[in-house]
Amino acid sequence: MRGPERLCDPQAFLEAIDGDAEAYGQMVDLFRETARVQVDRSVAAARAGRATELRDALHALAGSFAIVGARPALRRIEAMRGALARRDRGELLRLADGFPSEFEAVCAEMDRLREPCAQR
Amino acid sequence: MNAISFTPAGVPKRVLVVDDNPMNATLARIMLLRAGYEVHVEDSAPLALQYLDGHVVDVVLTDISMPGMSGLDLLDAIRANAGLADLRVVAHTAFAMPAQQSQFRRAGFDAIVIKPSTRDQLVGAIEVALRPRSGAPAS
Repeated sequence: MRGPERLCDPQAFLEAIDGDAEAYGQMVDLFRETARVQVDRSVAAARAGRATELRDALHALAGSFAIVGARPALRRIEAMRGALARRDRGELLRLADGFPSEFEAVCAEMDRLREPCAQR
Repeated sequence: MNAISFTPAGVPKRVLVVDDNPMNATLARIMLLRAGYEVHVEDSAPLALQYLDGHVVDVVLTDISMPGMSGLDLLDAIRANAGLADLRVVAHTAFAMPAQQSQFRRAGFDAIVIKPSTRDQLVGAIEVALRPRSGAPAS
């Protein structure tokens, strides 16, 4: 039986950096710092109805979440793009409101993986 | 892992990474450094052109979708500069549809690599781009 889907799966970039704990930590810190700004920007843009800014923020986030293999968050981004295209403001706000907590959960999962990475 | 190219003097090839997303830029930099290339990073096409004005680079690895000047605009600017005739340009993009890739090939990119990429895919694309062009001696 398959378990619940993981919030992120940074296996691909762990391989790319040879499981180097220092490089992993650098990427996690960078993710936390830069994606946080874009998540906040996307939420603010969704609330204010600033479509162009929202598209730009979602584009940046899609790149960052793809690197860490955060598939549920990537689906949220696609759903937000869809709601934006349909001009479904209610759905867009619902998705945007849940974004910060999902982002924090992804960060926590990536932090949890720091230790096994350091023990390699 | 793919073997990397060196200059005739035995120096690693120099790659300029252009990406406005710090995660993408940093990961590409780490991967290419670990593969053995020399790497410099710029976060916009105008800054990349400024860097190319004063530095020798073998390959530009550029994102496509950047605010203001895109990777396609950067390619056009490079191709319009006779002093950069030998410079190879690789598209590093999340646009994975075949039609989009055909568009990039027609535009004149030497290779295309889809994000997120593995180190082998990234190095493979750089090495494809560094192959001698038809009629040109290997460097």
